[in-house]
Parts: sequence; C-alpha cells; structure tokens
Amino acid sequence: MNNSINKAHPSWDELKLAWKTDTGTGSQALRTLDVRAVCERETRRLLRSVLLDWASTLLGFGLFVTLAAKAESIWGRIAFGLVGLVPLLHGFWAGHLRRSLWQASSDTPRAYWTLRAKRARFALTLFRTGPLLFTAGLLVGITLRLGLPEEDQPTLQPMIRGWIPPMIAALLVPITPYALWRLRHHQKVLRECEEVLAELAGEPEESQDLPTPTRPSPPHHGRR
Amino acid sequence: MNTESEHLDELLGVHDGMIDRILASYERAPEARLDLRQEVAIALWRTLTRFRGEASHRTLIARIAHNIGAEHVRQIIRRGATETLDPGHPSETAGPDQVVVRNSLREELLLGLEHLPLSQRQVVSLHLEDFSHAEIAETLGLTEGAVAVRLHRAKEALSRWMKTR
Repeated sequence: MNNSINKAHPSWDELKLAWKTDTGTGSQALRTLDVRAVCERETRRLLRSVLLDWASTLLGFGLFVTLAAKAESIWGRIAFGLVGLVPLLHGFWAGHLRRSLWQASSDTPRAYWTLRAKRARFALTLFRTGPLLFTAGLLVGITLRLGLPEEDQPTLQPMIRGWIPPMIAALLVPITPYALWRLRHHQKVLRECEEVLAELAGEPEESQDLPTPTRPSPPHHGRR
Repeated sequence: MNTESEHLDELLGVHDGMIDRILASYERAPEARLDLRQEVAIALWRTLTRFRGEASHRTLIARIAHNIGAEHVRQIIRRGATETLDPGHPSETAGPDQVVVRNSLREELLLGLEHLPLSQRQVVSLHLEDFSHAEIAETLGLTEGAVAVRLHRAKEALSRWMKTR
C-alpha cells in the first residue's frame, strides 16, 4: 500500500487494512497457561455450585416429604407434598439454567442474552415467591396441624408457642435483606438483558428503505 | 485433557488477531482486553466439549468474542465507569508513516464503532474480519438480508461520523 490513505474519507478497503493492523499481542503461551488454571478452577466452582443446588433441593424436599409422611389425612399429605415439590422443581430448573449458561457463550448473541434474561426472570420469581412460599408452607402446615396424628399434638403445641416462630423469624431476618439485595441485582440484570436484546434487534429491517447489497459494497467515498 | 488443551492453544493461536480486534470494538484499553481474551479462552474451552462442527471454529470464536465484549460493556455501564481513552493519544506502535497513519485510522475506526448501535457494530466488525454475509448471518443468528441492511446503515453512519471528525 502507499502513504496516500485519506484519513478524512477513507475507503472501505483502507478501513479493512487499518482494522487488521492489530494482529494480537503474541504473549499466547503465558495467557494459555493462565487459562488452563482458571478453567480448572471454574470446573471446580461449577461442581461445587451443582452440589450445593442438589443439597439444598434435597434438604427442602426431604423436610416436606417427612412432614407429608407424618400427616394422617390425605389433604395434609397432598399439601406438604406440593410444597415439597417447590424446592425440587427449583433445583432442577436452576441446575438446568446453570448448565445452559455455562456453555451459552457460543450461542448467537440473541440466544445468549435471551437465556440470561430467562435466568434473571427465574431468579426474580424465586426471590419474590420462594421465601414467602416456604414460610407460608411451614406456618400454615404446622399451625393448622395439617392432619398430624393426635399423639403428636401435645408436643406440637409447645413447639408452636415456643421455638418455631422465633426460629422462622431468625431465619427470615438475615434472609430478607439478602433476598432484597438479590432481587435488586436480578432486576438490574434483567433490565440490562432487555436493553441488549432491544439493541440487538436494531431498527426494523423489514422497512428495507435502503438497497440491500449481497456483497460488500464498493467504497462509496474516499480516493484510491 | 491434554488434547483438549492443545486444541484450545491451537485455536487461540490461529484466531488471536481476530479475537483481539473484535474485543477492541468493545474495549480499547489493551490491558483490559487481556482479561477479556482470557474470558474468551475460558468460554471457548467450555464450549469445545460440545462442539459438533455445525459451524466453523472462526464463527464460533467470533460469537464468543462478541458475547463477552457485549457483556463487558454492560458491566462497565453498570459500574458507571465511562472513561474512554483520549482519542488524541498517540499510538503505541512506532514505525513508518504508513503504519502510523494506519494505526491512527484504526483508532478513528474504533472510536467510530463505539458510536454505532450494538446491532450494527457487530456486523461491521465481522465484515472487517472478511466474514461473508452468510457467515455474519450464521454468527449473529440473522438473515442475510438483515445483515446487508445493517451493514449498509452502519457504513453510512460510519461515513457520516468520520466526515465530522
């Protein structure tokens, strides 16, 4: 090429040449070494998260299934069983989304941001309804003694009057600010995802107010 | 694991320049770009295990770079950090006039790209990488018609922007 690049009105070919001036930094080996270490750390982190998901899921499910098993009436069993399904479904769905996001970077931008938005929506629903549902399930189930056998009731009464309400309150006190903080975070993430999706959608292409070349158009300004 | 790592090394080596250039359309600070390149490498490593060759490696890597770049921009906006490099800052690469002019033109181009909406910026950066319309469409999940329209609009917007400089 020559020195006669017109900076004020460069042609598209000149822009391509300028664009390719940068050929990477060349410190590949060092970065790859870092990448391997980070990849291994990421794998361990994913494994930990999946294990945690499963542990909390099984814990929640186990609690309500135990209560359902203790209930004598069919309605008690159904009620506790249904509430027990919530952590189970949450575990499955959260695990599915986590795995999908883990590999989503190679999806098309629209698919990638749609998945991120879906995850944020899921988290929002979870943080809005999860603590409420869980507490309501426990409170309603225990205070109304849903179908629990008569012989358990004398021990249940002091529990209801005694340590169960403060325990739930003690759980909710740290959970509430955490849930609010996560709610705000996911609201922000969702808003961002929606903004990116709107930006990716761009202006409507259907209007076709401009010619639509199928090949890179020739430089329409600049001197060669 | 070793074969996977070697494959990863090879892919990163072959597409090193393209990755950096695409990331440069989102982040002009070279140091910050190094971090982003590492994220691209990790994302590539994650997806290689399920890669079945439906698309070319070039397309796959371009997608990853764009997704990581767009996410980086969102994070910057979230943090409220809007500091950009001084457009008048001299290029780090010294050399003959031609190179200097080209580097300076590249800086202008990167600045111009920053002013384009995301939908057009992605199309232009892939076009500059010599992706065909079909490849751009495949990378971004668009139709070829949409690519052509976006490219045309982006060229006009870039041209207008450069004239005002």
